[in-house]
Amino acid sequence: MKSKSAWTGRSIAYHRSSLEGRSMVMLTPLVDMFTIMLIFLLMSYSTGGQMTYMAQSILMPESLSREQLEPAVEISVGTDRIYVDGVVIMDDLTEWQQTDKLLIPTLYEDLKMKAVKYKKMEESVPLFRFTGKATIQADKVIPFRFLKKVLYTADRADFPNISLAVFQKD
Amino acid sequence: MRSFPPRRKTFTGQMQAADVDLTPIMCLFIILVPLLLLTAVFERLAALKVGLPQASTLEAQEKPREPSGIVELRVLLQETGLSVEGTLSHDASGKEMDLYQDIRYEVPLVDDGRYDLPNLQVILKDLKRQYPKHEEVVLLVEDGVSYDTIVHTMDTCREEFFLHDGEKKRNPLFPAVVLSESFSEEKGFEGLREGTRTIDRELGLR
Repeated sequence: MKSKSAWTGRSIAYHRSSLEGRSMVMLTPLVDMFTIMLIFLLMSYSTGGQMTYMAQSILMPESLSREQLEPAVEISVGTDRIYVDGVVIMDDLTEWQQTDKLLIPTLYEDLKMKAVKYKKMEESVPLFRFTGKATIQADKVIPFRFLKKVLYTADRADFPNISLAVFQKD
Repeated sequence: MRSFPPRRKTFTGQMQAADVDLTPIMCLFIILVPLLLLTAVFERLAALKVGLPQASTLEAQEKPREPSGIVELRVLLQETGLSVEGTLSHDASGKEMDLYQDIRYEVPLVDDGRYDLPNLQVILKDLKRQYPKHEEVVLLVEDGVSYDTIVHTMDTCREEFFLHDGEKKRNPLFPAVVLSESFSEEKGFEGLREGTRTIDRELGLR
């Protein structure tokens, strides 16, 4: 009967001789890692949803809502600037945070021109319908004093169907 | 007794380990993993539909809605706390009252200065139980209240959550939320509403 140590010695010798001249890369841990990552990513993969512009400086509030965002004009309201569809249209809000006036002319002009453009598209593109939808992404510290001006301006510029974008809370 | 798995024998009679070709699976991983990482969503966004106050129009008057029992339900979101106001047209049994009844509940801030949203939901749940057909609530917000507080109050008004057989369920309360500014009797509506005619003319729209 052969001893265990004799088998082990022969096995090592066999491997050494058979792998001579070949670089040996251990792929098993890499395949394991990729498999785990693939399973995790496939589980968290989502096919639905709407691509949005998100300004880095804006931290939106969390909500329990599960409604999906719809394609719409995006108005992002930060503490210091306003973006429409990802483009900065106002970079100094000091005046508008203090005044009593509800209409913000710069925002109104931008939105109104978009509304006019979409209404013209409605006439030329058969399946396109302008529904006046706008999504507001606002920073959670914004006071209602300023938010109501954005809401009022969007409504006056023919965007009365307003949704608020929020982070989903579990 | 054989204690090792069978191994292939080459024509020379030498033992050789079975060799699995990992190249195709590695290629698949190298393509799939970066693709999924690029499209991964770590923060999910949601939408909160919000209504704006509308003026009474002839069109609205032409289409009378079935009475829900509540003429209007308002939640006042003030810096000092919450209030629920409303006018009831029907009693809980569904009979129209001769004289409409005003209701008002105060929900003061809790000790650490937070809004007492659980208490607000208890009041709203009670109203919903009595008047299940009513869907709309008007949120009257004071100027200094933050957007974060508004969203949390809207969540409280829209639906309740409860555990049923260990599963989290949601039940709608007043899902149609209208956002409006608060007003005081002394000052009327706050803010100055400017016309847009001048701007429209400058833009060449009129």
